[in-house]
Amino acid sequence: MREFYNDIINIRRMVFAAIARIAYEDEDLKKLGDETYRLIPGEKAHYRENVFRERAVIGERLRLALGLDARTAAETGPISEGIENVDVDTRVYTPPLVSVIKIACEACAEKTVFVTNNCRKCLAHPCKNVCPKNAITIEKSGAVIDQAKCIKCGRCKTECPYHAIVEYGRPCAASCGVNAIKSDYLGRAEIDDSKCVACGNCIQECPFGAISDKSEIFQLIKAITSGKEVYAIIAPSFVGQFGALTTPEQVFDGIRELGIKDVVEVGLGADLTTLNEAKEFVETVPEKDPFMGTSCCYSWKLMVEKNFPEINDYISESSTPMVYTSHHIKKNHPDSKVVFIGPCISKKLEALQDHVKDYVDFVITFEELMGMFVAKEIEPAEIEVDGKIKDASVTGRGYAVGGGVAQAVKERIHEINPDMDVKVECIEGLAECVKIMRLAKLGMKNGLLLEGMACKNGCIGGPGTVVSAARARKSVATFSKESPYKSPADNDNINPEDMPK
Amino acid sequence: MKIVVCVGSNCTMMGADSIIASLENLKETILKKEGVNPVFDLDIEIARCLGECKIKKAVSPVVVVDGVIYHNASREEIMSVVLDAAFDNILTK
Ligand code: SF4
Ligand code: FES
Repeated sequence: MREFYNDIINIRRMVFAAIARIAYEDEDLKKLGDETYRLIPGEKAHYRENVFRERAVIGERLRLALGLDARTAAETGPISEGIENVDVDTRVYTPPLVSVIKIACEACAEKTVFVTNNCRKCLAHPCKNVCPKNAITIEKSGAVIDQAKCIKCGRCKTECPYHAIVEYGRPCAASCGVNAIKSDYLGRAEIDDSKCVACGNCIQECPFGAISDKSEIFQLIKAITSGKEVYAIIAPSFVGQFGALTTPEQVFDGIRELGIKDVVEVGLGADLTTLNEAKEFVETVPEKDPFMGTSCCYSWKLMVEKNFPEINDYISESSTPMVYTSHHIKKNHPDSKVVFIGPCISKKLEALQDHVKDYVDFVITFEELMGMFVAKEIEPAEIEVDGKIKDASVTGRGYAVGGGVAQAVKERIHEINPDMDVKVECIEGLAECVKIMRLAKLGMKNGLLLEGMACKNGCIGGPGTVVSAARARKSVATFSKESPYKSPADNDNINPEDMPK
Repeated sequence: MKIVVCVGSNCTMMGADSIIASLENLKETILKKEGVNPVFDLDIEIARCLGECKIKKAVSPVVVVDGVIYHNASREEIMSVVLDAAFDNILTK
């Protein structure tokens, strides 16, 4: 969550709450246009230059939240166009998951070096003297950079005694670790789907709120209200997300009040991931494989698959906590539907994979769940609860925070073989992940257990979170300590036959 | 000065958490500086849904400063209310 982007965050969340309300109240989707007036009332603009554009953008957001594709201005027709296709109770969305809302994009310049009005037009003009392309002239107004000549080396910027020269780029492109953002013919951002790994960084970073993913809340709620038996599995980072006075147990009860049959911690699946990865590491590194990468962050996994095929085999074969937990549910309740609730959007993509799609029926984020609470006027903090949640071990709960996965696997390896000294390296942020994998390819990470996380701070820093990572970190730590299981091997919720042999 | 930040569902969704964070940050930074009225004390409380959001739509986040209710509270607004009071030495003069 980008703390100081409040308006953008709030608009996004209001849209989720609106769609959730429409779904629960079974309102006619044909009237979706009315919602844009409810969300942006009056005639004074608050966010953009005029209220019409504000409504148009929020209209596209509403459509994306229903699972529809983002449209360009040329395609923008009636807001309810194509709506019958998404008015169902099963997952409908198809890739791309992350797209640019073209009518919101301000077509920020790609990398630019620019003279601001701080320029005093000084006599020394070191900017001009240092420019290797002779791109700077001193005009009446001050220094001017000929953009056609400029090679963006930034030397002038360093030399200016008044800090009058700035270098800036597109926030979206700068935030993308895999260089997936290009320009379209109008200079607006365009995401190259073949490169995108759906980490959600650009969604958080665009200062105009012009990038969004698609949501499945509408279809999820339809599944609930049509009487399907829906189970929720919730990622370890959920603690502390739903109000500073809400306990984890109250979150679970709140989810049940939404019409969901029951909730299980994904920490349970995380325990299985730990057990499997530890076993795998002991058996394969360094004899068979030079190093092992963790497998739970799907964006990281996808990044390696797309960019480093030659070392892709060294990513652990163990399944992700989401997959193990969904198997656990479907085994006990074969006819049920499973919704994964997490901080992450790339899980929406993971859930479309052939080996996952029958186990995970829906994926929503914490923000989207918050929207459902608001739509149903549920106050989790006011629910009377008794008992404690006991689905996962201490280290399974620790998966939420960067470094937690490696820590869990390391501790488990130590249980299997106390003499084995495992070296770990934890990488946070997609760009950083790419850097480290380049080194790994050169053999410079041999012998290591590499934990890769596309988000800074790990899952608590994910694009679908409600509260800042700093606060979430504390809540996760407290809840983790409360677990009755010190080791994932002690977790007696796991069916014995699912334990790795 | 007593500030109550509502952390009910609506207010949490609309950013109550970041208001608390910025107030706590003030306490650690500017309010430790010189010039703060010595009798000034900032007490930050969090509360369950204050009921405001149920009476009227679109009022979150709700913050109460010494009994005065702020609808659609923004962190900059609340921080400035705090600082105005903290650096007001007229009372002690
Ligand atoms: S940062 Fe936002 S507005 Fe600027 S180019 Fe990227 S998507 Fe468009
Ligand atoms: S949630 Fe704050 S007033 Fe209801």
